[in-house]
Amino acid sequence: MNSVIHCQGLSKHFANKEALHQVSFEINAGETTGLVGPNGAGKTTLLRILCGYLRSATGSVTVLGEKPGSRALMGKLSALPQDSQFDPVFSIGKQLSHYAQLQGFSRRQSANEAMRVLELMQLQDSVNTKPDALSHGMRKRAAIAQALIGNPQLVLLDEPTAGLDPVNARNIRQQISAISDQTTFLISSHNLQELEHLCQTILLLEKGHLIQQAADRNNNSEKYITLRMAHVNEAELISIIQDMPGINSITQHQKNEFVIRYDHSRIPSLDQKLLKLLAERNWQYRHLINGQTLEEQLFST
Amino acid sequence: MHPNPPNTFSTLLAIWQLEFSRLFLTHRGIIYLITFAVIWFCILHYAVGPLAISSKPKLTWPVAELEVYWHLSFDMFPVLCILSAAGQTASDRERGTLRFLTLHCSRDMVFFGRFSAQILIQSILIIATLSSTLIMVIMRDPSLLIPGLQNAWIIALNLIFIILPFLALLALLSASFNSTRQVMVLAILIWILSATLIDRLSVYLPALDFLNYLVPGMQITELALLPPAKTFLLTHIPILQCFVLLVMGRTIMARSAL
Repeated sequence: MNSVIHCQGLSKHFANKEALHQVSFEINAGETTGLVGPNGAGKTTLLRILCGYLRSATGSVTVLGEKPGSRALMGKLSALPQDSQFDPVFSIGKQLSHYAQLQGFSRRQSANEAMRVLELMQLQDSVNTKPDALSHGMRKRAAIAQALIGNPQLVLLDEPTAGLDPVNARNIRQQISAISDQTTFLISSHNLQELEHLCQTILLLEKGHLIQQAADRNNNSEKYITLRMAHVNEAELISIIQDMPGINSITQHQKNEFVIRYDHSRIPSLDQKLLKLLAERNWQYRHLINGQTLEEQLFST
Repeated sequence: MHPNPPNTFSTLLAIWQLEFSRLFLTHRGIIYLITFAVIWFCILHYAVGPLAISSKPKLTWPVAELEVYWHLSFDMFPVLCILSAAGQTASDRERGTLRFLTLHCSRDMVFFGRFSAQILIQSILIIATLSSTLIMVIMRDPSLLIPGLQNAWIIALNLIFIILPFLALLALLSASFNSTRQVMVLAILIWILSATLIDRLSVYLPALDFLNYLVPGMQITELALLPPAKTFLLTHIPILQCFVLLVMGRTIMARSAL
């Protein structure tokens, strides 16, 4: 597969603070990747370096085979930068149309392209509206629309759904999903459920260090099932499942939520057996997830 | 839809269009234009007209109104430039709009596109005020049309050369600071303080006289004494100043964090 982002030994300091320390990773074309980590972990710094907004102190970075900020990346790389605002004197449509013209669209094409990306974000009615007249969520969606102008090959999104209502957040996830076969996304977010739905690979940053690069989850014969129950006698459930053949362990990290680790080669249809068990006992369940939740994968000890 | 690869001219054209829209089609731009028109109406009505009629034309210029205009515009246009062109990239940097822009075109194109747009805009304003002055000349004496036109283009070109280093200084400061107001204040301070300090220093240390070449508009005093045909003898000074300031500004723009 083609590598769209390649980072090797990337470090960045701000005064005495180390924002990134020897970060190395690679993202392949078509591989939607999530970037997670606590506040101040270095996620935004990493995205700013990839966009060419910041220079890295040491290490090498290539984006689509080019140096970040290179002219060759115009139109191929796009982004939703954090805390960036549109020019308040021009309408959203005019500004998006201007960005499209800068990418080489003719005047007429640029107006059509602006309308296309606004429609993707369900903002077509706001084409003539100035940014100050839009709500926070609408401005965020307009900024995402900006990132989709000209169908770029790689889009970096810094907290795309933060501050959005659930309906619009869902719409953005759907749009990302719909175009992720043509465009590679790198998404920084605190919403693990969102990343779980969208991403094949997860990068976990902590205090500037890349702690984990999780991909192809559950690749071994040892697999996981996460079971979330409505009401249950927890001790009885644990005891029954623990006694089933092929079960390596069952752990409970939250009330009514159990993570079952099992040997897939010995018990390939554990999910069916569990459903049968729940039906027999008349136990109500909420979710049966094939695998661990992303939260469990990243943060369980 | 996939666009054609952008070329330098189409990118510049897009930037110029937006900057023209900013001046001619937005409330803020129109308020500036009205203010500009009122200031120049007062200058032409209360200064150029009466002074031209009351004083004999000096030896240097054949049309009195244009001579008065020439001397007044030396200071007026740099000041108006600073007021209108200070925020070439500063305000966009402050609110993060530059991050959007630099995803769609290079930092060089933004820097030089905004700078060249300001040259065009200021040139239009210079031509507009010169045209108004010429109308006054013709109203007084229609036979002065031809000499007036001959002198007007010399004045127009000279004024454009005069404002070049000011626009380049604003482009440099704008690439370095995050606020238009800050850029405006610094430009005025640099212009006035550098001229005053270097002038004082060179009195005590004549060897430092060459430092005057760092001050935008340093050639103006000498330029005011020259006859029309010789005014282009000093154009190398603003062009060199502009070149140096643009190289510095472009370097800062390329290296600054967004």
